[in-house]
Amino acid sequence: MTPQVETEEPLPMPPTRGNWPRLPLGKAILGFALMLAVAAGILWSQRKGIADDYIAATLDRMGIEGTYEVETISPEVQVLRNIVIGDPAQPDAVIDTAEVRLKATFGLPQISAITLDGVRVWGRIVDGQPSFGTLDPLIFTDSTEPFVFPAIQLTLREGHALIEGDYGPLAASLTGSGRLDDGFAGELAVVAPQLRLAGCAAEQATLYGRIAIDDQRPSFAGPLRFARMACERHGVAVDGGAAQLALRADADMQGVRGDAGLRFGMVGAPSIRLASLTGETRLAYRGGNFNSDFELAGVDLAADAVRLSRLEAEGRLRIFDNFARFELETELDGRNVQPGGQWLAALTGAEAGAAGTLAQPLLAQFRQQLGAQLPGSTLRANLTLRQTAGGQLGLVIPEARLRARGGESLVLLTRAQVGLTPHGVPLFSGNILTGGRGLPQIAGRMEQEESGALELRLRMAEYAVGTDRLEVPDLALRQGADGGVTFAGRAIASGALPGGFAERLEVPLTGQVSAAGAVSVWPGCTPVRFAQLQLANLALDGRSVILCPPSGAPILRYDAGGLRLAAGVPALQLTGRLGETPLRLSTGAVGFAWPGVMTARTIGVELGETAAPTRFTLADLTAQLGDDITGSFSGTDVLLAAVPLDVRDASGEWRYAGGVLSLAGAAFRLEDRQEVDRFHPLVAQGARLALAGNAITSAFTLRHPATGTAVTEVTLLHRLDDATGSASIAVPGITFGDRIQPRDLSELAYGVVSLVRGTVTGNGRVDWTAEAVTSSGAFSSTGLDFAAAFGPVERARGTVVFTDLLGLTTAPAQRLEIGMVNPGIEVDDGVVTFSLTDGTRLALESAEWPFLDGRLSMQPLVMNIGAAEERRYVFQIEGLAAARLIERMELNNLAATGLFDGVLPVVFDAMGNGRLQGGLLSARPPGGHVSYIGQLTYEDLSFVGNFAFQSLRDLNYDRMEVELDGPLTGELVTKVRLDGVRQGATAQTNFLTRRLARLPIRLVVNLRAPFYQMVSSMRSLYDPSSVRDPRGLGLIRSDGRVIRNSVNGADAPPPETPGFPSSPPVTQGESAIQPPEREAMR
Amino acid sequence: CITLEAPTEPIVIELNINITQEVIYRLADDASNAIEQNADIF
Amino acid sequence: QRDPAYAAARAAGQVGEKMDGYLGIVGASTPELQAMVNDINNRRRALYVQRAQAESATLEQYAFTAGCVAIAATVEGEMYQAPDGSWQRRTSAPPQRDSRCPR
Repeated sequence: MTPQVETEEPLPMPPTRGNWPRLPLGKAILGFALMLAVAAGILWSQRKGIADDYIAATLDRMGIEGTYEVETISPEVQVLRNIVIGDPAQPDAVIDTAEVRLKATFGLPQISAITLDGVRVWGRIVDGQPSFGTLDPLIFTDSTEPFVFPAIQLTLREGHALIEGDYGPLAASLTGSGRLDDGFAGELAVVAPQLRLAGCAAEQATLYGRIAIDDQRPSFAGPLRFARMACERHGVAVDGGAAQLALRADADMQGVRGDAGLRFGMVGAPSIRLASLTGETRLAYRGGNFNSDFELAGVDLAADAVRLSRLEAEGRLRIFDNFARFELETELDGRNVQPGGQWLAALTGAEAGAAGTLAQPLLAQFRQQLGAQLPGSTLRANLTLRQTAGGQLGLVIPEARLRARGGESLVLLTRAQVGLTPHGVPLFSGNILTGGRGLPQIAGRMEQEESGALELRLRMAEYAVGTDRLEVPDLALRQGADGGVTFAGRAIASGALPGGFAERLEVPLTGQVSAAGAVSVWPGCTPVRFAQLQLANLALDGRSVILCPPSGAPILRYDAGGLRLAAGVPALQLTGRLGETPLRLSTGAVGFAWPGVMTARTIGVELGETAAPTRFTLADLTAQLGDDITGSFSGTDVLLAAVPLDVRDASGEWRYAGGVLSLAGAAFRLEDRQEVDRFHPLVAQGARLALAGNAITSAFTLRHPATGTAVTEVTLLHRLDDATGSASIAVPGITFGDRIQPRDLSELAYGVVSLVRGTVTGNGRVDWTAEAVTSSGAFSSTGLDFAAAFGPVERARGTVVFTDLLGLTTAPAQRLEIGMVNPGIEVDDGVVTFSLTDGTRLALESAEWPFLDGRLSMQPLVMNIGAAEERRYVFQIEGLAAARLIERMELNNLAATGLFDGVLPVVFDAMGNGRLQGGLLSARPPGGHVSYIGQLTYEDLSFVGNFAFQSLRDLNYDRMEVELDGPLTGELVTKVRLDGVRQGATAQTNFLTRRLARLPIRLVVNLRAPFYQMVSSMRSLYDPSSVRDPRGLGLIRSDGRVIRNSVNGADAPPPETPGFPSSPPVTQGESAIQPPEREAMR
Repeated sequence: CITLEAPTEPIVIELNINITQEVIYRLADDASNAIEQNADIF
Repeated sequence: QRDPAYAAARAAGQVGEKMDGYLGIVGASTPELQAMVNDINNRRRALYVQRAQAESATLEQYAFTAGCVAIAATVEGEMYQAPDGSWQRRTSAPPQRDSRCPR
């Protein structure tokens, strides 16, 4: 039901409010005036009782029971004493002495004067009806003609009355004398310790003053005081008041006129308090209508919204038809207007709530400027408050202006009207204009539409504090009939945002505030534009972004449940800078909720110059927004342009606090970006990364994915602005064995080294700039075994220093000790110096082995690892001791001395088989001695052969040269040439041999046997177990004659059981080397 | 009597020793065992 | 329990058993294939060195004997080197082997 609006009359007051005006100030004044009027009425109603005469006669006539003592009765004077009227125990009235003076006029005795002394009257007022017990008929004659004061001279001394009842006990005392109708004057004193009146209770109320009746019109002048008055019904309380009354009643006692000087102490009313209230009022009451002009001044007025040190109100209050209607017109003049406590608290609360945003400094300045401008401010307003017959209350404020101390207009309210809808919702219309130095300049126009809906259009000029600025170009608020407000407008803001900064953020302001106070803003998709948006050190260039709310909800909601923000963007394309580093950002769907989580999909971030950007791609990112912003990310790739290593599929937790973005517990895969991976992907868990300023620092342990073996611990620093950085790579120890092989780490090792066993430790360093990457490192092992193309290597020890670690290039002359290498011949305790270039070109600078008391060394050589090529090694022998060779070969039946030097060129084919080509050993002068002390007989050796063999038994030589050719792994052809041969001391000497001895003999022994076989066959010569029985091979018949020189696997009988006949296969007798079983194998 | 002049040129006695051995038989069993035990590389 | 890549290469006839006891590449080689063959041969050589020393035979002989056994052990479809050096694909018939190979 929309309220009916009279054109001029204000809107009706709701009946529930009672007749009191809405404005607290007006309520207090009216309340008091009413009480005054009633007090006067009581006095008024007692007027008949006093002026009575013919006490005795009338008493009888009235049938009033009373006892009295007659003192004198005479025609002129009747004096009665101790008059007691009513029940003697409970007298209604007692008069000490009553003197009635009569005068004859036209023969009838007329009372000319009465003197009463010591009068005491008791009365009651019940439900507003006064009753003095038995005196009532005397007082309340039913006469209808208008009351007239009788022209009787009355002198009253010590007149007291006690009236109890509705209004509480009233003790009145009156002395005075004079003609009743004209000229009576007396002193009236009324004391009411507990006065109850119209819902109010006054304590220690006293009325004291002069009462007079002039020309039938009684008047009273004097102070009405009370200690404290409280009206529960209206919540009004006044401490200590005094009213200097000067009232005059009309002759017919139907009206009162007069004025009152008011001085009250603390006045308290719901939501308003005054320290004191003083003022003047001229009032007139006639037949139900009350009219008063007043000038009131309140000191220290404190209302919820406003506090004034002084408020002067001058105006007129008119009450009609016994409080049915009233109208208050007043001019207000306030001093030192200050915002009310509640309002201040709300302001500081808002300021605190807006901490970290641009609103905070604006609110702070607003509060400070108010604090500065308001002291000494002046408020001038004129207003009219009306209550219509129907109880509708309306306030009209043609103009209200709040000026700062300097006179500057702070708030100007014009043509303002305030009314209340039947639902008690205030309906306000009017123009408002705020201003003042450092205060927001708001211009508002409020319209009242026929439908009752209220429309406020306001505009705020840019209100700025330093870089924080807010401007509301336009904002329209419509208040619906139900009290809910919808608003639409635009705001442009610059300044701080939580954790960031915005430059010219333009946002439409559309939404509504429900009747219940629930605020919802941006119900639909909303274009947000900004010139620049900064979050931490991420500065985004200007852009317009369409933010859409989740379905069925607004973007911003603020109600009992608190503030909730939720928005989403289908995609984002942003550019900007992170610190000084240029940034390009593209994302898929981004969802944002506060409180709650921000989620973003398929994010692509490029940092740095477009030429060499650092690229992050994230599959999805969540962020928990709070003081710190935390969240998780997954499916993230990080590609540093300068470093050829890619972080793939990273995921983990991140936190952004205090300007530092830190990742913890991150897991990722590290891959070599090169086409041919130099190393297989490694994984990291629990990695730490921090982005502070614009430097990325990180630390993580890289592990072999399948086995989890820790490979290296990396700490890394990367500066985003100039894309420079460095990383330290520590290898506490990788132990190769069954669990992990080099091939698991790098394909480069496959086919180069196999069956690796041992631990490699070391550390390296990589430095990079936008243009180049440099790396270095040192890796060592205390004992590494591996199988290589040239045969197994054991206990390789030493440290290899790399000048270009990623390029696998070492410093020159890297030294490794080789426990054992077996290219076919086991060679121990070697020392190799080499250098490696680009991981493929191996330059063997030197390789040395102690070799049978001498030294075996290799001439420098360059070879290409991994390539199947023929390699030519040239070995140098120096000081090989024949004796040690024999000893090493465990040939205990042979002894030889002499030191040999020589060269052994070995060619390794692609398969890694080594061949001796042109090996030459020559004995150092003075030569040495050879002797064979074992049994050695073969029959059919030629004479010379026999001699040669015989001489081997004990032979000195001056020179010996040994030529070696043939495969290391197979049959070695050895040509031994001895010169300067002489029989050794133990040789059997006979004539012939002595003669021969003097002959210069050169003994040439061509030994064709596998280096190994040479060894083993020698051994077999005396150790049968190491040779199969030739007879078993069908080579020799049991009688020892050779059947065939060799036997071919095909037709050789299967080997017998290894049990060999005890006797050595070789028959005793003269030494003869068994003719070689030609071994067809090449 | 015959005197043998020590010839200026040394008398060269050349001795060819060929030590070969037929070991393939012996190794066959060991080889097949080795191959069986290292089937992953054969 | 051969390495899958190796088993595939054998079955596809990309590699075959050589007489000298080592694995050879039949036809076109690729870096990966070459690396795999090298690795297997490194391991075989280390085994041969160890067995040859134990059996006091030359590496070459031991390797050759192993070759004989390996060729004998090839299955149908796999490649092996015939005594004349040519690559042959194994059929159901026994492979051609060097005269010196033991039965």
